[in-house]
Parts: sequence; structure tokens; C-alpha cells
Amino acid sequence: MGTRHRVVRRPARRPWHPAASAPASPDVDEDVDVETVVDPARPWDVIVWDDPINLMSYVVWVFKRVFHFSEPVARKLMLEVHEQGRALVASEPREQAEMYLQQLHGYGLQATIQRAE
Amino acid sequence: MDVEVHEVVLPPALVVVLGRLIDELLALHDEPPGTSDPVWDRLYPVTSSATADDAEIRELVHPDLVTSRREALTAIAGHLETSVDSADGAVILLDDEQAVQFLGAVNDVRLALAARVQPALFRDPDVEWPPAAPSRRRAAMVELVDHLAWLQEQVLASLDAETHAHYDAVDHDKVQDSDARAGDDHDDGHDGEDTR
Repeated sequence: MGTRHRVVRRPARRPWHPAASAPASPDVDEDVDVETVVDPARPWDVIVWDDPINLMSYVVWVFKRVFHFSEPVARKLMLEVHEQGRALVASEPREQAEMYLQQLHGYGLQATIQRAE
Repeated sequence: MDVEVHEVVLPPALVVVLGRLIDELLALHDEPPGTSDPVWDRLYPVTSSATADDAEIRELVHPDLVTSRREALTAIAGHLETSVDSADGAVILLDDEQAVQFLGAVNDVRLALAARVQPALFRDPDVEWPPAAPSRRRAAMVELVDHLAWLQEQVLASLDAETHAHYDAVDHDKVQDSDARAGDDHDDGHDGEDTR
């Protein structure tokens, strides 16, 4: 391997943190009797969050490895993470979403899952 | 079937430093912190934005992850110990799986260093990286995070020439600018390093 020294930095801009990202409560008409029913078939979203340390090239590589995305798709999603602060990278049944989450955390990416809206 | 061999050449001093940092991560895994620890929290982060789901999913997902991360770090510590000196530096030969482990271990070390330098870095969006006017010790740690990024790039280049070729050829900021203009339909296999 070569000895060329090339360091890639990412800016520190991060709109918010996953732990603080719970959606705001929707307006509720209290006069209406609402029964909440959770559809077990509703998929779970896998969201990857920006952070200032993971390299862009590394994130692209992880996306390709975990999700088998093509290079352009992986790079597009990486840029979405970088510029928007997060990106929805998959929407799957819960068990599959948990497997993706485990792999992403294993590679050091900040990822969360949540029931799709 | 041919086995791909990845040759990693490191300055001997970096082998020593990386080995110590990996040992520190292994020690952390031997006795996981009972209270919040910035490194542990970064390696095993929040699993769901919904607080009610987080604890349940964490219990499902993280124990296996702790085991596999410990195994990978242990393996890489062994490779560092058995590196062979050459005129170019300390040489480590890795197969594909080992190279992936090595890449992940180096990433873990970078995340851990950053979390030690700026404990709130990964939970407070107002904390900047790199830190302004760090102490001498912290400046050295920041420099090491950057230096290990170079090492990651080298391993990535060996594992995945396609991705690395793109990042090798263009300035990242220019890529982002051109891709932002390209919009959502940018999936035609063209890497976007041209100027539009």
C-alpha cells in the first residue's frame, strides 16, 4: 500500500441528534375518541445520522456492504446524511431493520430504527 | 479460488500507539462502564428515536455486538503484535475478512479518541470538530484521529477500489456541490466529478 498521506475531514454541522429527534406531538382533537391501533405489518425505518468523524468514503463502503447498494446509490445516500443530517436508508419488517441496525452500529455508524409513519 | 491479501504498512510508532488504544478499548469491554461513558455511548449508541423502544431494541442488538467487537479488536491486537519489520515500516498481511476487521477497529479507535477529546461531541450538535484551541494533549489526539483517517483510506483503497477511486480523484466539496445540483435522479452510474 502507498504512503500518500491524505486526510478527509467532515464539517461539524449536525442539525440534531437521534436521541432528540422524536417527532413533535401531532395536534389532537380531544373531542374525538381515538383508538390507537398499531399495524404489526407496518415497516420500520432505518435512519443513519451524520457525525463528524466517520469518513465519507467509509460510509459509502458500509452502505454498499450492508445494503448491497450500487456505488451511485450509496454515495447519494451518504451525501444526504452529510447534508441533511440524516437519511432513510431502508424500510423493512422489524426483525430485518434490527439486523441492519446491528450491522450499522458494528461499523460505527449512528443509526436508529423507528416504526414507519 | 485466489485469496486477496491486503498489505498494510505502518510506521512502527503507529503500531505501538494503535496497539495501546485497542488495548484500552478491550479493557473497556472487559469492564463495561456502569454509568454513562462517552466512548461506550458512541460505540453502542441510541437504537431508536422512540425512548420506549430504545431499551428493548438495545437489549436485542447490543450484546452480540459487544462480543463481536471484542473478538475483532482482539484479532487486530494480535496482528499488530505480529507485524513484520521492513525497510518501509511494520508490515501486516490481512485477508479480506481481517482487512474488514482492521478497518472497523481503526474506525472504533477514531470514534473513541474523538469522544474522549469532546465528550459531548456525539450528543450536542453545538460541539464542533475539531475543537477550537485544544490543549496540547487533546491536539495530539485530534492529530491522531486525522492520521488514522489516512490509514482507513489506505485500507479502503485496498478493499474497494471503486469507492476509493472516486474519492481519490475529486475534491469532496466539489462533489457535494455538483451532486446537490444533480438532484435525486443521480443514479446513472456517473460519479459526478464533472462540473455542471
